[in-house]
Amino acid sequence: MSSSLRLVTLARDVTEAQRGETLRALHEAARAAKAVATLMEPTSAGSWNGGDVIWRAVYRDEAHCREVESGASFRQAASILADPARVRLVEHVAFDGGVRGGASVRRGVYRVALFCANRNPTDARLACFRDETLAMPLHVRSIRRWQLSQPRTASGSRAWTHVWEQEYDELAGLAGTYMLHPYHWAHVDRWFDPEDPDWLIDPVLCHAFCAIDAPAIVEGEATP
Amino acid sequence: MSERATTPVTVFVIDDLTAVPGRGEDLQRAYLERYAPGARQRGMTLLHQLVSPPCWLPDGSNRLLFVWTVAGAAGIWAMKHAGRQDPRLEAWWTGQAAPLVAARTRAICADPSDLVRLADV
Repeated sequence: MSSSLRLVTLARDVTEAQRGETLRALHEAARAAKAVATLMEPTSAGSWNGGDVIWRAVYRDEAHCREVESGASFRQAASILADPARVRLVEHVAFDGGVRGGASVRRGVYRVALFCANRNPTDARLACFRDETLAMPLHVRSIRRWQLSQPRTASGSRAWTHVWEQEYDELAGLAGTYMLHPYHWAHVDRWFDPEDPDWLIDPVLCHAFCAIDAPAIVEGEATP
Repeated sequence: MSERATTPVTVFVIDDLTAVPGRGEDLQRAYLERYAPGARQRGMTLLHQLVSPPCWLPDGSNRLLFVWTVAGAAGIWAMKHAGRQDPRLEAWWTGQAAPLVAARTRAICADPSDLVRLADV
């Protein structure tokens, strides 16, 4: 499967009515795109650089993704996303699945983080970062399902190199357990810490989450 | 609820610096003058500073250990977030300190008796 994920920040100087119209148009455009699975939800408060909307579309494969997102059914979406009167910023990554595990939740919280590993990103350091990130669910037991992917295309504030997604039963699993577990703040976070000699990840990153009532990370599961 | 249950676990941040040969004393002084004041503002308390071997080496590398304490996970995140907003911190490590430091590590640690409590989140 192949996924295309966008964090969409709407234009600032617009009325609530215009904002609502843009959101409706985006929903309509997402439906028209006919992806295998689509998640489009407002970004929850507490996100950083997470935009206003999380739009995650899953396609059969890379060819299907390209065909849809460059085709006629995507024109409406492309037109909205490129319109500065309606959309201020789009963080976009397209990826063909990554290393994943766990079981999706039926209802809960989906979180995605976009990272750009641009501080001395040697193969050995990237491999160590990947392995330690993928070990997080062994320690942070509130992570129910996860996937770490490397985008084949990325655009927005940074040339994103990693997509780190998780699903939780509830917000406390992310805001509490994930953030407060020592494996996170005393170990994995060193890759993000400009004070640490292992610093790897650009300080500009995206952390976005939203409520879900269906699995979000559907890659590797039976076609929804 | 016991006092132990409500008091944040003491977390230790250990900067382990190996000085460029002959620059141990300069590094120790620079660290205390230029790094330590900002660290204190970010909620860190300097518990120990240690030098090995315990004499300045004019031609060799002294190893300097600075052991700080921080109050729990919340204190660590507060320290990290404050540091990430402050460009002086990167300037210190990559600019001012770099000519004096041959190698360094930073470790975030806790007493073994606190590990279960730290992971109970």
